[in-house]
Amino acid sequence: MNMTLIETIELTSSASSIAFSSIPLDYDDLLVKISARGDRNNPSEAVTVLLNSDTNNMFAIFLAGYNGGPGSFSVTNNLVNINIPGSTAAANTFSNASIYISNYKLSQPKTLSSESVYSNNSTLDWQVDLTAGFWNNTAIVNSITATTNSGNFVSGSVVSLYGISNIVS
Amino acid sequence: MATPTYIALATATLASSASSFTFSSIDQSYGDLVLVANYNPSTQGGHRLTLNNDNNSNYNMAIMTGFSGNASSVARNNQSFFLNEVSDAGWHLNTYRIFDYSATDKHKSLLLTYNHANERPATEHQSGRYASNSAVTSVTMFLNGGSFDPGSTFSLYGVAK
Repeated sequence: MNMTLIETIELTSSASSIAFSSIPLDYDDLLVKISARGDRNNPSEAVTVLLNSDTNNMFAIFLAGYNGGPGSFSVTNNLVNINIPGSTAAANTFSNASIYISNYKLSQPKTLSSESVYSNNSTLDWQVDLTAGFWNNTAIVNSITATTNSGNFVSGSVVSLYGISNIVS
Repeated sequence: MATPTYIALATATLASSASSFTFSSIDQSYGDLVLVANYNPSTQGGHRLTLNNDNNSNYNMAIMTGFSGNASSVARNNQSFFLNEVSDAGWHLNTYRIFDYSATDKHKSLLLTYNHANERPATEHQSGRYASNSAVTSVTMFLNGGSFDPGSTFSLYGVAK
């Protein structure tokens, strides 16, 4: 099997961050899947994803599409962002994101891609975020952390880490 | 134990530079294909993909691009390959999802995510249609000038249905 679940973390109480550490080196690529909602008193909340807790070497490109607008494009340093619903968003709405990290254990810069969906159906507010990431660091990725910019992830938020092997059996 | 559904069919890491890379004689046992390319082109140039070595006008695509401060979209029809709008050097992560590749009674749909965040940052998302009923037996990535640097990796996965 070439795609293996390494670990799933499901919150049973609120927390401001969720982390995978001591990531095994048995794979070639990593996939992170996030299903989350926040408790910030706002329709939305931003979540930052860091590799090895490094806040200095990440470059991210966002292409966002949303209801009623033509979309937007932006470049930021040092973070990969996704949006999740806050406490005033429609009940029971969670955001989902999929983050792919290529060649995480090679001694070369790492490329990432992310797709995420945000919905707040009480106001027909929705958003799709597509991200290109470049981590200009040759270190092995041994930890991944998702942190809310304010507030907490609510209980029931789930983050899963998968390892993908390209070894042909 | 659940049945595996995401299977590595072939993988390669370039030991020396190459202007193109091909997976051929693709196993026809799966429903979809996923090609993950993590590569570093030597120069700025276009990025291309052909199926079955077909260079005819069978490639149609809608492309949404974020680049140079703008979000934009465009359609490209009757091309001789799937192409990217933004050309650049530096490390890339491209993922091609080719649906129903082994079918012989339908055109093939494709979704591409193209990500490049260092030299000329861009992200691109593409829906494509390969106007052929032929099963996809080979996939070729190539550059419009320049070459893939050593260390570039190409992996092909089959997705069971």
